[in-house]
Amino acid sequence: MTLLDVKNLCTEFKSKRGVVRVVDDVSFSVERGETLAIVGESGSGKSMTSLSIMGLVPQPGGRIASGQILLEGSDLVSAPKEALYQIRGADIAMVFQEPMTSLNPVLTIGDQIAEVLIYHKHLSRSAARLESIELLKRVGFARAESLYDEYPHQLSGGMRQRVMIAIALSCNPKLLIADEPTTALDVTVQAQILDLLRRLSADYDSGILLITHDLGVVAELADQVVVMYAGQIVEQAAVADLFDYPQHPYTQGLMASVPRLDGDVKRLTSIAGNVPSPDALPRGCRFSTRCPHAQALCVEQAPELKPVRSGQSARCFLAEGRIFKEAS
Amino acid sequence: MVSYLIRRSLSMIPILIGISVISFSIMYLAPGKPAVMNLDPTISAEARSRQLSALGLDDPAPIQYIKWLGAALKGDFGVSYIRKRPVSKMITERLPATLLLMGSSLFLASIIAIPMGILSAHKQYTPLDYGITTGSFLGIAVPDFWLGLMLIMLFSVNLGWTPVGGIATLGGDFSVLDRLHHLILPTIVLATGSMAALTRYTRSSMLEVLHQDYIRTARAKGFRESKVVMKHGFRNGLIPVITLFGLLLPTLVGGSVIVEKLFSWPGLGLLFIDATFQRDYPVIMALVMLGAVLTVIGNLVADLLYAMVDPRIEY
Repeated sequence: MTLLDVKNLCTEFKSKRGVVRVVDDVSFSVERGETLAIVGESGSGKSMTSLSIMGLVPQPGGRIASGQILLEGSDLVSAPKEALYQIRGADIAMVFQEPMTSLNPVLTIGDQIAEVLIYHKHLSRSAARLESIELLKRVGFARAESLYDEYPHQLSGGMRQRVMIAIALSCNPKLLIADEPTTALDVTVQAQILDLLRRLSADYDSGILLITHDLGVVAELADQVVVMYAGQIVEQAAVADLFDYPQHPYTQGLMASVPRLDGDVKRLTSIAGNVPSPDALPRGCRFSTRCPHAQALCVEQAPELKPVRSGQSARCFLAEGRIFKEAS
Repeated sequence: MVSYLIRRSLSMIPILIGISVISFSIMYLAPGKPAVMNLDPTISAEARSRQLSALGLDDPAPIQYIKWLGAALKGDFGVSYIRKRPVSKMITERLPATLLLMGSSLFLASIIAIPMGILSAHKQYTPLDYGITTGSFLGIAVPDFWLGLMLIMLFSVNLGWTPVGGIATLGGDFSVLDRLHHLILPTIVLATGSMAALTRYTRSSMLEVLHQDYIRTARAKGFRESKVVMKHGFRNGLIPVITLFGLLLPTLVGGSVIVEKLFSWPGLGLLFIDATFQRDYPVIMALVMLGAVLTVIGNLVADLLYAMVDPRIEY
């Protein structure tokens, strides 16, 4: 059975200017042992997608408007609140972007791991302590015993992120959501964390949903990739296909903005402009305002996500073959 | 920690000396000498100067101050000009009544205000939050004397449930119930104002905490809202509130002039206001210094409590 199946997810926010849809008809699935990466710029809706899966859409104002999130076949959107308390932190765990602020400053490291074990696995305090120390060792701490009684401010960012991962792994989650887990860290520490995630997903056979804007991380870790833009999926493919045959101009733009060490490119290319705000979307294709190939059709009609190669879909008239690149 | 305590204690000395010099000077400069205000106006000039020198009031101000300081350091705050009794005795007589009233009102304010503040923050922008906020502003806006009078009229005069004033039933034996009975109204009146301020303070502190990333982490662990707010939010939200308690400590002894007067509560507030009007220097100085010492200690206690609650602070 598919581990996670997100179907037509729509998440909305109520703002002063009306209801805005920040996640628009998003569907994807993650299998056990598989890593799916969601890629996109800030504001593309990727973090809100992950918070929707966790059931942690910011309140008040935010809500899942429609769609299904099936975890091993059972829908989390329609599940009662009580059931979600059992699932969050146990079956689905999350590692956040900001390791510096994601741990509670007034509780010890050990306390913050052990409380999850006590709550979900009903361990005694002493058993939880032993298991917490075991988890700390597993995420690579040599002096786990002494760390147990230390406070977050005594640790570096990379160490704190490893503690966050230890917390997330404490109940052997079926699905681990990692929201930009390495963004705030040094490059060398990033490599350690990625390595850790890869090893752990293999050990536990968990599915990983990786939210990132770093294509290097995607290449390193992901099996499947979803590219999001302005709340929609614009391209979906296996990682090798995406890197070798990017279909959507946005994906191509992202690829081109990655600095290369081997080429003789003098300047970094960038995609001009910003992601449109969800309350001021263009009428046609949402990327049309920034797309180098945009034509009249793109401005008037919104393309749909369609299969363009085997195992690869894109939301683009160009990729569909309905329009062609103008000779430049 | 020990060296921090010693350093802080030593630094109190210049602060307290400074406070005593300033308050002594202000008092000396204020119009209305005790000799003029309180001595029998019909006595001869010779008798008057004899009395002045007996009180030490004909010395130059610096000498008066040094004499006062020397005695105060030995714990002797002199004798009241008016009541001819040792000041320390007058204070210790009245201190328990004030401590009881202020302590119980602070207690009442805390047990109501802190939960209300937390609730108000957790349910931000809901009718409950608006209700609590409106109530807080009413509490701040309503003057003590008016609220006190209204409560006396309703509960003491019309309903006859509570005594009109005083600390004990006249002629009755001491009993805890009788004392509590007399305590109810003044405590409520005094608590109203600080309750309102404390609610607002707790609310804003908790609001800031509840938007922190570690609260989201706690939710991601699957905890129920009550556990998220109480275990992960409250201890962090409490840190700024502790300052307020440190600052409230001196008011515990300062008492409230208005409420003590209104309910004829024999506390230090009444003593202080009487002493000021009568230019009873020894009493004023003793009470000012008591307040100063408690303010300084209150700050120290708040700083020590910080370190207890927040592991990031070390001394």
